[in-house]
Amino acid sequence: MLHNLDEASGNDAKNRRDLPINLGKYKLIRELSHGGAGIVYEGEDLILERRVAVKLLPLDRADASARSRLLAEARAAARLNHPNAVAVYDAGEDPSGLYIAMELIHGTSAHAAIRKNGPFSWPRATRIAVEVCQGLSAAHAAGMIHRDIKPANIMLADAGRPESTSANTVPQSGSAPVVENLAYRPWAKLADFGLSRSLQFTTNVTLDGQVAGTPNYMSPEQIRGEQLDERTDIYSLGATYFTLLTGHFPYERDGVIQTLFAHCSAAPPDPQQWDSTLPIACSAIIARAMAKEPRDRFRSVENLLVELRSLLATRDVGGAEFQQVPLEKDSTVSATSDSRAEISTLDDSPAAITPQSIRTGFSRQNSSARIMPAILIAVSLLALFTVLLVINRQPRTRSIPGGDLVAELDLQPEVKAISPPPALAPIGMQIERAWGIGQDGSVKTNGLMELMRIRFCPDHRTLAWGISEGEKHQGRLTLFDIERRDVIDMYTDETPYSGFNCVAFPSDHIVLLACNSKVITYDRRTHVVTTLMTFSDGSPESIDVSPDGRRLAVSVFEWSGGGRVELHDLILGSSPPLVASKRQVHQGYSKSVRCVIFSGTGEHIASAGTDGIVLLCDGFTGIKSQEFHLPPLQGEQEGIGHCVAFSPDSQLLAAGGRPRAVLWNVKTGAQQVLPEEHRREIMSLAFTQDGACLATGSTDGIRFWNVKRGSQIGANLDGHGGNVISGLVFTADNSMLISCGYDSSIRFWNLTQPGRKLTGL
Amino acid sequence: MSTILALDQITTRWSQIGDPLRFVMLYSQAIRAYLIALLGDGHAAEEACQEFLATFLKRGLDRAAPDRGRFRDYLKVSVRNTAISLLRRKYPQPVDPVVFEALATRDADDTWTREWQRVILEKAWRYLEAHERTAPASLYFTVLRLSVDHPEESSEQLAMQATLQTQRPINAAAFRKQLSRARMQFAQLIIAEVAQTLGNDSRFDLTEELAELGLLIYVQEYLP
Repeated sequence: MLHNLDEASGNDAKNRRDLPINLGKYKLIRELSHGGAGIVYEGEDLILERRVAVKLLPLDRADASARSRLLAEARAAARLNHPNAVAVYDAGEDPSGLYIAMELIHGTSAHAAIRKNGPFSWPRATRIAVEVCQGLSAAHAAGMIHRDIKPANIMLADAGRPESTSANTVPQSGSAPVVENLAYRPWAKLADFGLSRSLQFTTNVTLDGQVAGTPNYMSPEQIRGEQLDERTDIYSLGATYFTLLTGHFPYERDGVIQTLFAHCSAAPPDPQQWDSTLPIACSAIIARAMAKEPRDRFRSVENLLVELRSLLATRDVGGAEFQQVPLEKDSTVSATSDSRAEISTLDDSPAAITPQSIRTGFSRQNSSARIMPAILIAVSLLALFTVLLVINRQPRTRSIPGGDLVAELDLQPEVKAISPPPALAPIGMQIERAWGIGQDGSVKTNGLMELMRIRFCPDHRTLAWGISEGEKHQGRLTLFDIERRDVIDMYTDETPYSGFNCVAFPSDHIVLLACNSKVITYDRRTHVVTTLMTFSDGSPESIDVSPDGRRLAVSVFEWSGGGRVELHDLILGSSPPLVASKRQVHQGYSKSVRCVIFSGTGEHIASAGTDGIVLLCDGFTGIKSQEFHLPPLQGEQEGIGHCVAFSPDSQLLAAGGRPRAVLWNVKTGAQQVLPEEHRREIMSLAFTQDGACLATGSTDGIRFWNVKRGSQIGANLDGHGGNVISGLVFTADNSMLISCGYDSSIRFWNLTQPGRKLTGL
Repeated sequence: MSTILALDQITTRWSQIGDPLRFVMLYSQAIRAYLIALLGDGHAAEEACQEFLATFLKRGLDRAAPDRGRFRDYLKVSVRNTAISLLRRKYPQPVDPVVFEALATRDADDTWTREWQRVILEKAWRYLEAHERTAPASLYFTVLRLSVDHPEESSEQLAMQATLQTQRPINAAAFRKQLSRARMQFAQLIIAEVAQTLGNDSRFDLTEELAELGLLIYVQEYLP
């Protein structure tokens, strides 16, 4: 098994030292381990009175340049604060050597765990990989490349034991477990960020085979001495995942140089060669992560993370570990140019080609000799097939600033286009005034549109809105073709208090509705309604779906008075649609979260709370990247936020406050407060499709803003009788603005009228 | 990333290879593919790779040979000799040497040349991409990749694609300008890599080598 995982560590007597008493402010208590990169002690911070891990690096291994590089990298790692990364507290020099003080983890490394107990089950191995991805994502976002990902650098915290990150106290016997962090209880933590790699600068692969560090997880570009980027970590993580699953190195050869040669030239290893029961997705993920060319790998660790989470979701769907029919033993995923192995991804890379081994695996599954419950097979196969099937998903169409829509991208090529539906009787509404060339129009509804944000279907001509109708506040969804001026679809939920708060379209034919204490799906083809998720402690106020249709963000109004935002993976291919892998984007809002939205690229999520806080978070992991605050009114403590919107190019984030709108640059965080004030809170806003103009709505009507200049354009539009304007959306050609309000009406503002043209921008 | 090398500044590196092992790692895929073509079996090729590396580690580069010629030829002969040694051990009874000479089949030779070419091209692509990541103002990798992947599309269409990919507006004129520079840099990278593997500084040999590798088409416009 893994006897050779001792690698270059452990037996070098030169690394053993007499235990120093103190290193700086740290009192050393006992030696925990020693290895090629130094000796690790348990210590106590005498000033802060907490237990830490102290790593002492032998001076004879670091020349002056390596020393300064090491300290620089330690300082960089210390800025990283993430539950899935071992925290670095301090670094310094002492007569004994260089030392680094880190978070003390009560647990074991993945390497030690495998040596003791063998490989992990695939769900556990995948969970470890997911958590490492999360830590790595934060590191990459901070501009760091780890460069030494391996099982020995993954710490597994003992379940149920307090961790020093939160306690900050020396554990007392019988003390209660530490309060968990915001997101979840982390199990895997990535250690040694770039630290050991600093020492590598002083040594190279040489002809006699001496190489610093382990060769078993090095990427080809590391071996060749080429420029590195984040994809190097993806390779090493793929190799580590292989070991977690199988208990073996990816390439087991007689010597170091032979191992390096295999990394550079051999096909990616197939874990099913060691364990034929592993899901085929494990092979596909490893094949992609360990592709020889960096551009053939996952474009980012977030993309890898999504695939890993999708794999874990299949286990949740099946309710049990998924069993696979074995492939032939010598079946490998070829790395030659004739048959590159690729799997489906979420990014906009060219359409992936399903590896031959996957096709083989599926055909073998049909003739499997294993007996499983038929329903379990059907559900599991459908979910897994959906994950792995080539899906040429493209990002939602977003206009490029300054020009017309440059490309019509297929949103759901695997779904047949819906043929023009027949008109339905306009129940619950009436067209008061038809709109046309140069004319405004209006529609009156029978219900309340208090919290509604009207939305276009992906076809950009079907307008959707939801109302609360009647004394019992029943919910009605209306889909309205604005070109034909026909109602083309309608769904009514007669359950009391089922009024629809928000609608989102993950695809042309699936509609998501937030209502009462649940999110439901409505299939326009079959008219089947299913419950996607329910909440026992609150009500979903706002929902949005990522452009690729695979993630769902929900803002939840907690009945206890607060709010939170959740991020879920959305699995539409299963029947019924499912959500999986919940991540808390933010919790602990003191007040409700009125709006949550994805950026056009899907890389960010923004949310606005009525406490005036606007959060910008990673669209894949939910990790917060920036926090903004809406300016309060004079004399008040905090602002109020009801709405947010991204510019079409995802560069700007706008939020409606009281009484001004604010713009932030997503990358730099630079803030611009629009000068003119509405009379009351801004409850709705929308960018034009080219991003040049922003519309804001409040009780005093609608204002238009030149985004670049930050100044108002033209006069206000007033048409909701002084009522709150709760929703705004531009048509794709910017010829019309559509608003809805508390007066239960929907207004169609024709922007081609003289005086209204948004020209000169 | 280093600046573009002027052609007349390229010197032969074959005699100055400071880290031969890195060279072997760089061309490892060509070595493996050649062995698979020679031996017809992936497992045997793996065994041969191990032997080749063991021998290479022992002897290193034969720097003393007066006429080393092209590194590519030198490496090919070394790899082929490894395959022959392996076969002789597996089949200890005397075999007509002609049989072993037949190992130098056209198919295997074509594989060697094709894979060597591919390594050089992939390295140039990697460097181009790395340059774009560190200097985002230049889109050499993006534009060149688009033009290669979509040869039938116009520069207007490609400019749209580049705009979508990079989220930066690029018009057709800017796209063509970037493409021209990208092609030049790509050519320089290829020339520099090939020059490193030649035994002398003769530009005639360089052109001949580029032609044999099928790389002349990428660089001819930029040769003096």
